[in-house]
Order: sequence, then C-alpha cells, then structure tokens
Amino acid sequence: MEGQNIVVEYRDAQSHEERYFELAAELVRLKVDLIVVGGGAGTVGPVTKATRIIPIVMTNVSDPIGAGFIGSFAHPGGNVTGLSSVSHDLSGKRLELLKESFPKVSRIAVLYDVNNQTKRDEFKDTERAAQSLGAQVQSLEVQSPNDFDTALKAATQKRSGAVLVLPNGLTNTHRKRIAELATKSRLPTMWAESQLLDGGGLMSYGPDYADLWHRAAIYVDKILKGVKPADLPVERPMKFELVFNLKTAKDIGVTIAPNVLARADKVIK
Amino acid sequence: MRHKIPLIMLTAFILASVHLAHAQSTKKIPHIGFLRGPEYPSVYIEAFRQGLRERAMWRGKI
Repeated sequence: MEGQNIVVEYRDAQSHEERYFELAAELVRLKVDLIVVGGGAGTVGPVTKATRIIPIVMTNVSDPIGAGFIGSFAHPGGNVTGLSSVSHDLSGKRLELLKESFPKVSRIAVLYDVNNQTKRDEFKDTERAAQSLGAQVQSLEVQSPNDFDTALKAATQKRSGAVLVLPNGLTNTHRKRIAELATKSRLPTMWAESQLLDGGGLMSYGPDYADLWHRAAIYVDKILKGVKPADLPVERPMKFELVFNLKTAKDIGVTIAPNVLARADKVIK
Repeated sequence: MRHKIPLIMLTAFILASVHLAHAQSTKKIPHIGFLRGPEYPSVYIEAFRQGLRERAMWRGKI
C-alpha cells in the first residue's frame, strides 16, 4: 500500500478463548517484529507460551507479576512489557464507592469467573477489603453465560444490595446480559471500566483504559527502534475515572448519594 | 558449453539481487502482530491507532 509504513497482522479471537493459542502461534509463524495483545492475562498467557523471543506488548494486564509475565515493573526481564491496569488493586476502592453511593447497602455480591485463578485471588482481596470497610460480601461464582441468571437470583435471595462485577473475558463480553438481569432485580452494579457501562451497568471506577491502549503505541515505537522489552519498565495507569449511568439509576429506582455523584468524572444521562 | 556457465552465473546473480532487494524493501516496513482477545469496545483499538499515528507510524489498516 502506498505510503504505508507499518504492517499490522490483526487477529481477533472474538472472546473465543480456545482460539488464543492458535492465533498466537499463527503470529509467531509469521515472524512479526512484535505482538501487541489487546486483552488481559487470559490473552497474554497464550502468547507468552507461543514465544519467549518475540517482544510482547501488554495493553491492560491487571497483575502481570502474579501472572508470571514479568519479574518486576521496573525490570520486566523477559520478552513482555507494556501497560498494567492494576485493576485488581482497586477492588477495595470499588467496594468503598459502592457503599458510599448507597449507604444503606450492607451486603455486596461479587460476581466473578471462578475458572480464572486471577479472579479467584481478586475475590479474596475483595473479601479482605470488605472486612476493613465493615461490609459483607457474597460470592457469585460463574463459569459460563448460563450461570448469570442463577447468580443474580442468589444475590436477591441473600439480600445483597448491590453487585460488584470482577472484569474478565466472560463478564466483559456478557456485560449487557448481566446488567439487564441486575436491573430486573433492582440491583446497582459496579464495573471496572467506564466503557463497560455501554451494557447498561450503573457505575464504574477504574483506569482510563483508552489511555492505556493509547500508550501501548509508545512501546511499539520504542521496541521497533531497538529497545529491548526486558529493559522497558511496565507502566501503571495515570488516569482513573468514576462514572455513573443515571439512566440505569432511574430504571432501577435508586438514588446515588449526592456527595459521591458530585465526584463523578462523567455522568451518562 | 563455454557460454552456458557465465549465463547461469549471471542468471543466479540477477535472481539473488532481486531477492535481496525484495528482502531489504520489506524489512524496512515493521511487521507487527495484534491479538485481540475479548470483545473490547472499538474505542480502545482506535486509541491505539491514534497513538501510532501520533508517532507517524500508522498509515496502514488494521
């Protein structure tokens, strides 16, 4: 193509996890100069299994040390570098914001993919954070989209007053379904990123993910100029945002505490 | 026979030159892979593209 100065081999697994390995292997066979991974640990993992040589740029891995991708943020040490969302560290903050937004809520249900080790760890962290906040949490374990209905019914049965959704491929992909069921049960939902509110969730607190993906291009530039990924520190988010969807609040029939609403970075009307 | 050997050598030389030139021209354009896992909002992909454009690296198509 005339004027083209980069060739991108784009592979979209469309949330089919069984395809991650196959597509990662395909990119390695093509001998690309580097691989950018648009996904969390579940997507980066198969790419690290496919190559220990080709540089890998993460866009938003929550805990890259825990996942075994890097030695440290300052010195990644291998062929993986890029951006971490440090999202797992924010569970406590999300619980706190939920409680502040809805002060009468004492029990919060936590919906997560139980097949994902990172999410199981994140749930434990959330449980610990809840204790220090004086809140109770209810575990809503899901394995497939078929489990959402039962999970949200369990939340109502146990009288949980809100749902915190731990982000991963399963919950992100089916955000609309989860939000619909929660609205039907009149439960406010807290999400890890503002873009996920397009499914109809009520609120979100997390890094500005678009900014993380934007910054991934800096890594591409540096690596193509010869910097080794092992020497490129992994960076954290610089911007965080609290967003409310007032349309959903109206549908559910809840009022958000005005002092928290006033702190919102964005309000969807 | 006297003519054939130089001809074969010449052909081989030309072919090798063409091959080298081709290899050099393709090498100049970085070739990167992009694996998209979950169905993230397209605004993220656009943010990445924008980042590449700002570094004058993006005139291709994802």
